[in-house]
Amino acid sequence: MAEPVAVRRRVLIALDSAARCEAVLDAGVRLAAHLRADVEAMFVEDADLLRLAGLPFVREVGRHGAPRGLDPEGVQRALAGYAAEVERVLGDSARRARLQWRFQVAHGRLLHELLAASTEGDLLMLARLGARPIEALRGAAVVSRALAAPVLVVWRDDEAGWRALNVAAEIAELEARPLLVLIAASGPRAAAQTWQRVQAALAEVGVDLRGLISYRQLPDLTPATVADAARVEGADRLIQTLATSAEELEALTTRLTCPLVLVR
Amino acid sequence: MSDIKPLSVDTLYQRCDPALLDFETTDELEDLSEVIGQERAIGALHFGVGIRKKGYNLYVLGPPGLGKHNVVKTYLQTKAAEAPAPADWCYVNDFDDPNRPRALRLPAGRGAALRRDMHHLVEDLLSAIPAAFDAEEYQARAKELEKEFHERQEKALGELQERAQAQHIALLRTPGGFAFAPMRDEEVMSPEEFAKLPEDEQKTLETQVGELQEELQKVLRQVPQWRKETRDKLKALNQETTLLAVGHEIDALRESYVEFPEVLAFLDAVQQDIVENVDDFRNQEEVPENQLGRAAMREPAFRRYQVNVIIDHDEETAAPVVYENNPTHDNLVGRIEHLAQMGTLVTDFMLIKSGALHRANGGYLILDAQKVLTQPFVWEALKRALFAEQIRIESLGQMLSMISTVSLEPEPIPLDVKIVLLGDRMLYYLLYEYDPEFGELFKVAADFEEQIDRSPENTRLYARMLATVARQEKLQAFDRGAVARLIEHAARRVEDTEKMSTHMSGIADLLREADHWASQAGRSSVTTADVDHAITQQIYRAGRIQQRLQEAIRRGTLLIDSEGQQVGQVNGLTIIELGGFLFGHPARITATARLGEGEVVDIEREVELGGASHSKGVLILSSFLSARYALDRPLSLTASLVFEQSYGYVDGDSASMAELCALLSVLADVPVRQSFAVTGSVNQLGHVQPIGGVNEKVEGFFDVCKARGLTGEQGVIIPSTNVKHLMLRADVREAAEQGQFAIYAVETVDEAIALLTGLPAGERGVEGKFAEGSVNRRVEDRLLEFSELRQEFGEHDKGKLEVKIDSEGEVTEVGQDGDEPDGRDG
Repeated sequence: MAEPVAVRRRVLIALDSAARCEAVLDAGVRLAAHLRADVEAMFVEDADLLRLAGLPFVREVGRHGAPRGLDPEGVQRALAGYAAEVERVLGDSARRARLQWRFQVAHGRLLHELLAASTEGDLLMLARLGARPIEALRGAAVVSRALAAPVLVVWRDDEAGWRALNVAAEIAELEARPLLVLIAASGPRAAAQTWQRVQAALAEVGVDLRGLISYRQLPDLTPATVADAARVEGADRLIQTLATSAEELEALTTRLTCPLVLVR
Repeated sequence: MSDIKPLSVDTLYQRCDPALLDFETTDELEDLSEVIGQERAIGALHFGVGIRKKGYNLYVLGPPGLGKHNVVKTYLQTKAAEAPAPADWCYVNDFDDPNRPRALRLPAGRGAALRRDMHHLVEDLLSAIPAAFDAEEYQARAKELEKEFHERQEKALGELQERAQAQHIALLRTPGGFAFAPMRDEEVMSPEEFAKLPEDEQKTLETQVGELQEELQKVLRQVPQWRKETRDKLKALNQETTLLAVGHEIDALRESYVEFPEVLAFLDAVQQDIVENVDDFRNQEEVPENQLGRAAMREPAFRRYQVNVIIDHDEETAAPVVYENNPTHDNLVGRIEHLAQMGTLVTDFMLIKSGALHRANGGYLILDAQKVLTQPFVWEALKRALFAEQIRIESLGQMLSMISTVSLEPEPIPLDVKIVLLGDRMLYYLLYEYDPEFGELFKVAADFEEQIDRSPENTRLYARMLATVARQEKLQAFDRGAVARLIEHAARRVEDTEKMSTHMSGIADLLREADHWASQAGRSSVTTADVDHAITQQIYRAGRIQQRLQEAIRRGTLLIDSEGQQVGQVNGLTIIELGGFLFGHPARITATARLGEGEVVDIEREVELGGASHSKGVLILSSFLSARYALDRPLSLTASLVFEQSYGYVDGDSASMAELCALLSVLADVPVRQSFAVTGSVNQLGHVQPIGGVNEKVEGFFDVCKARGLTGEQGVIIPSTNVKHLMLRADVREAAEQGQFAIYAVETVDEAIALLTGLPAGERGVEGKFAEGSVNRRVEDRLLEFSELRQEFGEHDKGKLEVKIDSEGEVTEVGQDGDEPDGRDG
């Protein structure tokens, strides 16, 4: 296995009331253990949600279309319960990995709070409830189950993009997952050329994924395109650079159905 | 005084002259393949095996040790070799009803082939199906379906979201679903801000949010329908993909089994099941290629495609001949095993095990009748199978409600088998008498002889049979002297100079033991001396009780006289059989007589130590006395007969001549010579009839006399009809030759009493009277005397009154018959 590409001080995980906190936290802790970094989780109480609950005429429409009233105190209690659960899961997981860990509750917007809390050298993970899709097609395994769900990385030809690729390769190697590189190209030839560069760069840093690495050509890297690719490929995580606009990140996190890892 | 002479030495033993045997040792003799002296049984066997009709099963009768099993098995194997190997039988899963596995019939060897084919099919599909689902074509079509589903949601939700955004309203995800919220400055409007809005603006917002909520509800309610449609399409795609993967694999199998419609139906069911359960194949963890087979075997999901070959005749060319040594219910009709899983007992068609009936189907099944009858439920199960002509595996535990768990009802298998029951005669006759179904199912009886004629031809065949056994047992060769001795012993075993025993087990034992003693003596072939030694050793090993009895007689504990004379006392002869060893010894029989009413009391019977045959013998004596001596007057005696110092059960009538002689002695008041022992039964005319165990009885008395010293006066009286049974020991013959011991054969009791008393028995003269001084005259006179005495007593008793005292104290005289005397009262 390749050595960690850079010494990182901390893996910072931000979550809202996403239901699958165990998987996200566990992945974060394993990554931190590999990077010999501390792990810190932040549960963000969504300010919009709390305000929404206070509006007297707003009703929550359940997944099956049944409307019900929103009680601010009830929402507050539910969020507190989520926060406690996240703390417990993080603590258990970190103790098993013998890692230093920290937990905090923030109030505001998930991406904003995460970016505000992050510092240079942090590896950021983010998992939130997006607005779409309403539901994924569960139980209909499209991708062969012989393979683990892949790690997807958005490749950009800049310094941050290369860092993101290296981190993705590390994670894939660490967890023995396939790595799928999303390359924006105008045509197959251009995509193949980029892909050769990517392979060469990974070989140079000693990443050995034994054939479990591939690429997918995308027409562009807009949040909708990337989120769609992640959903279709059944991604375990999407990794990309933080060097993107806040709007784009917001749009991406709204659509993503898997956790997002942001590399500074 | 008697004219009867002792039997000549050559009548005491029928030798087999070694000179008549045309070989030096048994090595020169060819093996004997046929069975000698069993023509009737072999004929029945040929008939029973040859006739392939329902109910023509065989019961082979005869005592153990005759070699019935070997004869039957050898013959059946010969017949079986002429027939082809029967069909293989398999059980496979019934996919519609797994509790009723289906039976498949295939030609010999094809069962195992089908098992291999199905195993390979599962192995192939374990890679072919995932590969089909990993193929780009499937992936693309499946993704297309998912995309379609996603886009339907996206479109519906996107349009709604755009409408909302136009009204500055955002669609937010909440922990439990979705909600619309009015926005201000990129944030959800707070309740306070909302409260500050003008009332009409608040209402407008409320209306807008309410309308959007309704729209959202409509969209969300459509999602399950979209999901169902997508799932159905995906399912159809999966089935199509599976069929593509499975179809050509199964088609190849179909071509191999095209002539077997049941197999084709099974393959159709397998294909259908795989299509419906394709996820079992797709969800396999990745395993190295060379372990796929083992993985498949381990995986319970794939058991249902396996084939349980319960009968495999692969590489067999003949019909089966099966001997079931332990015919329990399960071993006969098969069983259904269970596995303990998570604390419960479970089973499936793979746990069906065959029974002897399955293995013998299409051939022959040999069973021991006694074992079949003593094992619970086996006889009934066997009859049920034969009547129904099918094997139905029924769990005994289930039948008796001993196991309360899921079990199977496998499809019955057609049965075509010839059953050969081996057993003794008593069982055959009992079954015939008490089980009406027995006669219907076992129509052929093969009755084995226990003895064969000792003809010159049979003697030669017997020698070859001995040679065959010796070779089979890897024994040393027997010289002709030894063979002659064995033939003589075979005659002795059946107590007949003109017969030979067919009890092969006993003969083979003697061969083995003679071989042992020859080896001990360092001889390279077995001689007469070795056979003699083996016989002597057999007798010695078994003879402890015999020796103790002889010792008791020698020491005077058991009172047996072998010299002198006694009135009313005769040496009878009895035989005892213990542990297969037969020996004789003398027993003192005494008789007493007195005035009485014509009855002969059998004391053994009175104390219930006598059997029915013995009692019958004694009653015959009474009849004999009446018929001979008291035709015209009542037999006016009471006589008692007893086996002295006998404390066990006595049966048989072989002592009736001795008892009659004792009775005649006491009636005639004539002493009997104690140097004789007597054996034989008599009828009521005084004729002597043959008895069993004559050799042992003679030798029993000889041993007593020899121990005390032979005087030349001693001997045994036997029925003349038993002379042909004499195969006496060499020392008895030597004593007889030297005049120290004699065997007399008699035809009537008169001959016996003459020998015993030294007086003539006497015959009736012209006047109808027995000769003066004869035993019969003395007996008749004595009985006449008793009769007159009884008459005197009778007259004296007449008129004798009995006195009765009634309840009121009155005394009444009544006659013997209870009548009131003439007008007298007390």
